[in-house]
Amino acid sequence: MTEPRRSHWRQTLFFKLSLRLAAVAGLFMMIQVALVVWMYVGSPAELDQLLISAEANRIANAIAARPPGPVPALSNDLLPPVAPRTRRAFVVHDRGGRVIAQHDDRGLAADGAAPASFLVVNTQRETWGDHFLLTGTRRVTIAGKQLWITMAIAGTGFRPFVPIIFNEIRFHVLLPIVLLSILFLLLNFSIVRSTLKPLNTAIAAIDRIDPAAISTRITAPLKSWEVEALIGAVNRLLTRVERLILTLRDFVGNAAHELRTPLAIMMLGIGKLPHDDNRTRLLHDVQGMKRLVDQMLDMAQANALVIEAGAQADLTRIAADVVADLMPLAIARGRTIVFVDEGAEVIHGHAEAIGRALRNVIENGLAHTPPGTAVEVTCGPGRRYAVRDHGPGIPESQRANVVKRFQRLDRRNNDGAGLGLAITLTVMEDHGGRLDIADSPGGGALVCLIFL
Amino acid sequence: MRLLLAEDNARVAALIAEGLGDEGFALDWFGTLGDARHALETIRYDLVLLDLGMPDGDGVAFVRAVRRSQNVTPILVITARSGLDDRVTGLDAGADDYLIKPFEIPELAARCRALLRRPGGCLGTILTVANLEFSSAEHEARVAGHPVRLSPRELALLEYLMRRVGRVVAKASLEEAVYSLASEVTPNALEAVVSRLRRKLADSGAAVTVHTAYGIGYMLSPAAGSAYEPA
Repeated sequence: MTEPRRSHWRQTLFFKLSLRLAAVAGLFMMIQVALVVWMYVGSPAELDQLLISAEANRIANAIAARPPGPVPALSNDLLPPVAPRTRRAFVVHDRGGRVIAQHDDRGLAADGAAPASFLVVNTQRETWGDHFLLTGTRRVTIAGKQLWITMAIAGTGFRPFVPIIFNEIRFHVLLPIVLLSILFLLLNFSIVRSTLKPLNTAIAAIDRIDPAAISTRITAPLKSWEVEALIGAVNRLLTRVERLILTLRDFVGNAAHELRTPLAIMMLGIGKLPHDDNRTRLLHDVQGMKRLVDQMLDMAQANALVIEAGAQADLTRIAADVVADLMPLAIARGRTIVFVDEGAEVIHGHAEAIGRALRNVIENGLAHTPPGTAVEVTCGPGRRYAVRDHGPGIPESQRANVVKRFQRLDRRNNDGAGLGLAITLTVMEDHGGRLDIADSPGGGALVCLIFL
Repeated sequence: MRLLLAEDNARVAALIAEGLGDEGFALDWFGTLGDARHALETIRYDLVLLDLGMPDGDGVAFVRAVRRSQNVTPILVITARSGLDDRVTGLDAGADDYLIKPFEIPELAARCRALLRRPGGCLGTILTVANLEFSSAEHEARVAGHPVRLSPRELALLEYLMRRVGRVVAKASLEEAVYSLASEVTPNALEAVVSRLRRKLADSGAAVTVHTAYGIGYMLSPAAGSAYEPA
């Protein structure tokens, strides 16, 4: 059986579900980002504060990184502004109101006076036309000392705020959502897998259905509406397939059955013809057709065999009846059948079916044993039959084939359909028995029917 | 010999009637079970040939009904049905023999003869196999018209085998037919009777053979090469 599930992992429900959930997470993230951008664009005051704070933080970091000592002015290239295309000036005061750093930028200077109150943390905006001027004070703590940074930022348009928004998004949206998404996908992995587990169990159960046991139905392994629905659908399909197979079997049986009346007419009609070679040949042909019909019916019946509880089959009696039945045929063909009773048992089984199984083996033997020889039928000891002929035997390589349907060793021989041993095998399997083919010690085939 | 044939297929019925007519049987054909039942109630038949699949009912039920009405006329079922349990069902219902279509007239005729045993006192039957004749009325065997001297046991054996010509008869049935219940049957007694019968038949030129079915019984059939050999 092929396992397409494994080779195409992209086609798995598991993969698709995970992918879709990931896509939903991604979409969610984008919506969140858009929402944040919209929010900030709608409130410039907040952006102003953020820009001042960001600038203050950068300045503070630069001061902290500076080696301790006298206060040199901070050079321009050391401190480019956060926002592009802006000018920015600042003054840093300590608690005592001393200026510890100052920076002017192309004519823009921050208010050199120390903040009126060191508690003040403020942001102001002035706008004229496209231009804006932001001023603000921030309190920072560097190496245990509190410092006040007062700054002015001049620029135009919205562009200077883009990095701020980007930073905001990076720290407050992307990071949490990426972490959440990873967690989400991991959970999803196990949730999806455990949710799909009943489905996998159902697949295994469907795979285990024996094609020969057409009445088999499967049951839901775990409670899950979808899996139960799937199993229900599979079971309904099985019912339809079973009905189809039974119809087909019935059809074969009915067709064979319906053929018997026209065959009877033909046989009786041929019987009226004057005795000559033509009549003999025609009669032989009709008998071949009769055998074919018989075998098709036997096969259909063997396939549908039901052994009732308590059904008894006396192996000795069955064999004696079959041999007695076939003796006239054997004698007419110049052969004979020798019956040897070695004490067979009465078993649980369908006597008529077992009789037909044995009959096919003996007929096979009669077809292959040379004129003047006998087919020896031994019943017992115990639960077995042995049928031996004196023909060429069945080559070892052909033994598996001769029990297949419509298989004949000699295709030129058109006696029967080649169903004989297939019928026997089916009946033996119905009884939990087996059919063994071997060479008999003195040459010829030895076919054993062994019941469990 | 008057036979009733219940068969819905006119062509089959005509061929059977013609074939059995050639074998010396008179046959009345009915196409429905209703007609057949009516005929059986008014006329005494020696044998009923019944097709199970009739248009107006089930043949097995017909057999049961006939038997329930105390009618003991032998019934030979002729059918296309060969289900695993059909034969047993038919015989259990009260049929005397079961023949599956298609068949040849000689086989049907042989089965009819085997069923046409008549109680003693009635007009006897003449059984014929090749050039051998057995008259149950006179209790005599003739080869080509000449009587053959046979002991009562040999005659009983011959009659039994001739009634089942072409079929193997189990030893136990033959012993029952040849020996009364009271008498002791030694294991080889039957073989001895068979061997004496064979010798006498051969001596008188009968074109029949008594075959031994080893381990089972005996079978009488026309000798190979005789004009009566079945195809």
